[in-house]
Amino acid sequence: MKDFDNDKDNFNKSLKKKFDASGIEPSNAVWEGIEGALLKHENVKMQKAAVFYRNIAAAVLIIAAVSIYFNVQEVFNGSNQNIETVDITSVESNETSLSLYDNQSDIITPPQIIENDTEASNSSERVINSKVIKNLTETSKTISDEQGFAVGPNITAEDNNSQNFLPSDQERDKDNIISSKQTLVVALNENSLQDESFINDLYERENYLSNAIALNHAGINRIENIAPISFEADNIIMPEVEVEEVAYFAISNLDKVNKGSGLAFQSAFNVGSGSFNPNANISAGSPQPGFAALNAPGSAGRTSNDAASQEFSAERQIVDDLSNAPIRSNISMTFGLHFGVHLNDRLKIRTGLQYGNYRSSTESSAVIRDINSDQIFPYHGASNATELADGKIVNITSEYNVYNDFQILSVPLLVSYKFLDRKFGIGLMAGATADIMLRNTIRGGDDQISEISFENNESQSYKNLFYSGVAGVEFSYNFSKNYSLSITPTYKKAFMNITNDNASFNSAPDFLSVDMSIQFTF
Amino acid sequence: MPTTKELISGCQKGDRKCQYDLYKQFASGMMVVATRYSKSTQEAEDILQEGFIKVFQSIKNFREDSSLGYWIKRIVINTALNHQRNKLYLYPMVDVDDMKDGLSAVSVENLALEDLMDLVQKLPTGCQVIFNLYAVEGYQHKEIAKMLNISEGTSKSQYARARKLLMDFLEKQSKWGNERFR
Repeated sequence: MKDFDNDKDNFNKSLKKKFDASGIEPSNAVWEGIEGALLKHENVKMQKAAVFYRNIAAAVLIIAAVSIYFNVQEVFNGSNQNIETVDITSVESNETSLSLYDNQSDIITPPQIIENDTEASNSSERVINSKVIKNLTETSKTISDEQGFAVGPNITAEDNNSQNFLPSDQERDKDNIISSKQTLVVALNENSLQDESFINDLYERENYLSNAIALNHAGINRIENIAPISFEADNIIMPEVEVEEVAYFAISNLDKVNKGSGLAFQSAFNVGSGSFNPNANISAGSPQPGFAALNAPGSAGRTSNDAASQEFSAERQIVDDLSNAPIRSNISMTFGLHFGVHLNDRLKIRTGLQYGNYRSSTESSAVIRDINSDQIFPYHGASNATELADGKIVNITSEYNVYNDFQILSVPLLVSYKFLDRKFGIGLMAGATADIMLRNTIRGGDDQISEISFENNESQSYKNLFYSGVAGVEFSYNFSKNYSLSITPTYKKAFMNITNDNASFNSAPDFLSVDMSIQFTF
Repeated sequence: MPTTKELISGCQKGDRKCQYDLYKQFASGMMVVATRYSKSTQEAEDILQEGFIKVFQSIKNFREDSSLGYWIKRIVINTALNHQRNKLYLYPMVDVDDMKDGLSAVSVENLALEDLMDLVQKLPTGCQVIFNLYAVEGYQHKEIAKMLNISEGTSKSQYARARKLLMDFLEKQSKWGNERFR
């Protein structure tokens, strides 16, 4: 090899000197482009910050909404199912007071307010408007006398130092106002409960009913959680309503939603993302036996089938054998709709349709060149002999990326068994899929290289239909009676060789993915 | 006119005026560099623009161990190399043994910059890049091989080919010029 490294003729030096001493003024468009890109970059940074805060706000809102949703549901469920309530079935009346009885004939003894005169009401802010009370008492009596039962929460209170309804010493001294020795009666009937001014009066002037009385529009047949809040501790009235179970403002995540569900149908929208490897178990083989010779130093030209261009370079290696080609798995996406049947609480089977774009890439140092049109197509080990017919040759080039996308429609048949069947469930899933190769697209990572795409009926190296096995672990969360969300790490592998007779290699690809599905059970 | 230090400090803070002043100071010199690695003025301007965007985005990381001009030049060269990497080297490569003897030195002193740039731009992409890196930037073949992910032998052969082609161009131009003025 001749030595061209030195610069005996000073050619390089003079060239360098010439370039260094010179300058070329770029057009104004360059600065405009730079400024535009910088502005865009700054905007993107600001947007990223905005997106960050927006995501946090959204997450907080979602969490708040979900927790409110579940808690409200629980409160409703709890108020209907869990809280011990007292059904009022009959009321006995006498001249001054009304007594309440529950089913078990236990007397409920809340406070009593007697009818009073104007002087009394003026003397204490805590005295309930006497006119209202008077009216109430009379109305209540009338109803009780006529119908034999009360339609309002008639509450009586026994004399008890710890359960005085109007407890201050000052008031206690005033016999004509309220006596703690007397039974206080609050007689509320349906009419009075509909009277907003009356209720407001109770709340505003006495401020003791804030969350104490559960008002039931249809006649108040339950009393729940009566607890005055504005009185001093020694004067708090504790109603004699026995509470056996308390509904907390929270739910247990381990509570089971459906108990004993039998046969049920299910639909699920399924999205998966994972790593597809078409190189799994691939066998050695070259599309054309002669290609391997291109890689032998000193023995072949740069192109095959082209005697006119036989200049050799050992710098580039043609990819002629997929078993040696470094095929990379790219992130692939699948989505589909499944339908299934719950055979029992734990066992279900499902089927459906799942579309997937399974992506992989590799590198190649060769292209297929059409001599007639001078078009260039990507060449890789899975290219087969038919791609090289009709005046097409393989031409060695610099290295470029080859992207191979398989569009596959799968019909799965899956069985899953839940061995932990709670709000959070864990189960095993297994099954098989029939995979239909819709399209195989091969692209080169360069503008000069055209894309090759094979449809189902011309899927050159690959079979139109093949079968795969699927297995996974399903983690599910039942977020309502009918809806559940599941995440399933899944492994899928072809049962068989997916290449046809045209190909000179065998392949049984696999796909490791995480599937997420939202399920509706009806 | 602000000093280079003030310009750097201003650019680090994102001051648009400082960025513009810095650009004006180095643009014409870097345009020559970009042109040497490209096939057209348009491509050179694309490289220059992309290079300066990178400069302004990464000037926060600039440590003053080297001159600002050298640092910017390296960024522009790397940008140009990335541009060229995306292209295929479809040109046939020749063995150095096939080369004719080097021609006697042809002076470039009398050539206009535009003519010289035209000659460099006419070189095949691989030859052009390697010639620039070796002959003008002063990188060794080993470094070039590492930068371009090629063998040292390829770098040498491409350089030799570039040099031969340039000599041929210059010789033809010289002959044409002599004939024209004879």
